[in-house]
Amino acid sequence: MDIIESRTWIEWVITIAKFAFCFVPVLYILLLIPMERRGAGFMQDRQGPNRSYIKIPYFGKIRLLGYVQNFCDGTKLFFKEMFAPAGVNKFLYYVAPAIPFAIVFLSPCVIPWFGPMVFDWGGKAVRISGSIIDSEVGVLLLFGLSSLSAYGAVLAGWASKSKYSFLGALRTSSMTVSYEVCLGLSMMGILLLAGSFNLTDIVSWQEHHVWGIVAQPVAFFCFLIACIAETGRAPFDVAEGEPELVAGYHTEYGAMQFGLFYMGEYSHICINSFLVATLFLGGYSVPFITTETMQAHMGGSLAILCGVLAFLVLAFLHMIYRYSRKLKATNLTHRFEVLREYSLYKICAWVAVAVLIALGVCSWFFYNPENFVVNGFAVGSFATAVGTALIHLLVLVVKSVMFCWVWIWVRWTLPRFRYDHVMHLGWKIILNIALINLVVTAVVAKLVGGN
Amino acid sequence: MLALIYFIILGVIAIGSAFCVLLSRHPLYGALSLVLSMLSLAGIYGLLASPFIGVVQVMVYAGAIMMLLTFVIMVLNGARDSKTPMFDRVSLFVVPAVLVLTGLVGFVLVRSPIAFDSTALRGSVKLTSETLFNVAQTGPGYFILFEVLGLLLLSSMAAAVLLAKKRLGSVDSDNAEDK
Amino acid sequence: MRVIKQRPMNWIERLYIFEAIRGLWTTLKHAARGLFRYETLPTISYPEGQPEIRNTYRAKHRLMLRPDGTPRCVACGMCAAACPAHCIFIEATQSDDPRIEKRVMRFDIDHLTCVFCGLCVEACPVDALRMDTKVISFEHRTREEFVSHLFDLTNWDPKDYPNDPQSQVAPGGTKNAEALKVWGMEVK
Repeated sequence: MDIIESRTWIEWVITIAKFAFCFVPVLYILLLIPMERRGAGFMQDRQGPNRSYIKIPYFGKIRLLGYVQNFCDGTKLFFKEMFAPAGVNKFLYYVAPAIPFAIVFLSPCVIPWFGPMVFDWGGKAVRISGSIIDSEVGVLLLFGLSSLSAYGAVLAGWASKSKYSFLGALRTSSMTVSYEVCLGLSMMGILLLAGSFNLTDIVSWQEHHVWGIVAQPVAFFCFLIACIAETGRAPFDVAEGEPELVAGYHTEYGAMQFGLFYMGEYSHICINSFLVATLFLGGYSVPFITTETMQAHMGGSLAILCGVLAFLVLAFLHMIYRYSRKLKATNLTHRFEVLREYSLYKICAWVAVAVLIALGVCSWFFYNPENFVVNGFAVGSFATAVGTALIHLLVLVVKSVMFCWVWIWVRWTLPRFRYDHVMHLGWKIILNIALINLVVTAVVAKLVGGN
Repeated sequence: MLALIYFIILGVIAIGSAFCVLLSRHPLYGALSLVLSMLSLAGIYGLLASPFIGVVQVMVYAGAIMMLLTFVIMVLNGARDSKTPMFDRVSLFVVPAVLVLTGLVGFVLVRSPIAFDSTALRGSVKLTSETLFNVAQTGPGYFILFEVLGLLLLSSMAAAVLLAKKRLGSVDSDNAEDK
Repeated sequence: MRVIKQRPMNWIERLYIFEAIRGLWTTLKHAARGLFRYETLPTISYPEGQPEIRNTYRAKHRLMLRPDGTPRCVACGMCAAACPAHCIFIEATQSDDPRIEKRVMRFDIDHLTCVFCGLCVEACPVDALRMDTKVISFEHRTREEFVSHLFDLTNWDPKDYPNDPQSQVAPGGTKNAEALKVWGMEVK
């Protein structure tokens, strides 16, 4: 009991609430799939999937700009019959897809979602770290877990008892082993500079010095390439290259078992983009503003945040208005239906703009930590800490979404490498560059006189 | 109390999967059991306040080495279900060795019962690196050992490459390499 | 034989990374076009927006008519002979007109088998068969309905072909009843 009483209840509430971040990669799937499908469409001058709709009264068919396709795909995968082909190893065949997906829930534990929340609670100084597990081995834990997730692919390939799956599994395992090395070594430079494995420390180092991408540009590129290779996506998707191996390790899978692999892949992208953002792009830190400055002017910061969000919504509104004007001029037979659908978006967006502007104005003029008193209990510093955490979280999400886009962008641009080229790139180029970078960083850091 | 419960769970998993390694008929199941055993060992390291060693256990052994081992098993064995007999002539040596080892470890444990404070940090990143590299504190022993081990691994790798080359052997393959 | 020699890559191209970035820039431009200039995408959202079909497009067939409303077809069977898919079936009967030997009694085109190659149009000696109806979608419930009979093929409206004088002189469409009156011909 003493372990519970050693902390205030607010600490326990936040600590437990932080576990919700475990679901972030799964939520990102909802974002990534439409982003990938429509993004791919746009890059190829197509429109992408935009036909599935939900029918609601008055506004008619709501297509959410193609977003509904997600749910259709999910429903289809979910209700498809699950079956195993004859001759497979039943146990491993069913267990394998769960491995990468289970690890997805563990990986977000060490990522710092916001800076350490420091506040005063009833005269008691409270400090809550931004990651679920504030371990000193942070990033190593992440690597350990992500190297385990390749077992899913390997076992799936072996259990399927199909030559294609088997070759896909072999390629996956060899790719994982070789690119883990590159990943680790290219990351070492920034770890050396920050002097810690803990991601919160690394971010705070970047906040107070320079971002990792400035300090270690070469390592950044090596890390990004190795990260893309590790998720096994194009141009490194030799493990599931269609022209050679049908679909690689998940050739024999269908329905939701395939869905788990699919979701595991997207979640892996999410985790890796969070990792890149954290290691090289300053993580949760807001560019050019230190956390201390932000906390000193919390009202203004929140107002600026609301302003930025309102601007984004206004940009969206501009797009909608512009497109409805163009649509009206065409002779498409469904243009009035679409315009009615767009009117819903317009209403929602205008409401959002109004709310955001109202919030911004309120926080600009009326935010004062002295005013926050609940039951004669000053919680002003807590409110400031929560506001900081919110801004940090949003900044991190924006950065990671940017990197998710890089994944999609690269996939639909570059052609697939041949298998031996992938190995050549990994072992002979990236590894060497990363090693040289590490040595140079170490020497320079010693000469400049860091630690 | 909580730590003891975790320890018992992890210990049971570790020992059970270690037995599975011995008893499994297919090498791949053996390898997977070994992965499980190593993972639970990593958990035990974590309980002993040595997160660094635990994570390295996961990363290096469970992640990299066992992945390579699985790779080798799959390549050598193919996708066939080759069942190896549970006991063969090698078991004559292995079983007594296991028994003797168990006896030795048990003897040591009984003679000097380990009573430690599980909250004391002993395998952290800082402590590990200080033990290894801080020559002033612990003497050059560990440091030299570390470097020599690196050399040993390098030489063994070179030897392996050399052996593989000799097996390939023919002049043609060398020429193909040069091109 | 013409041999195309490709320029060997220079060292910047061989580094790949810069070429990759160039490619990324290209796709980014296209993605931005899709996002900000959505209406300029070449895709036509089909059932709502119809594609523009030119006169030379080989669509569903029609049979041209004489000024008195009878089909021009002389049932020579050239189209059926030219058809690579064997989808035209013609039955001839004696013509009432002393100037014309035969007239067509049955003229069926199976549009499930048709490959829309246009060879029948080329083969026709009297320019009776054309493929300029601009009908590109065939939607029926049974296989039998996909077979166009004489009535379907002659049942076109001169107003749909304003630029074709030959289509204007023929009564076409609903005026086939007059043809029956004049020629005693049954149009199915």
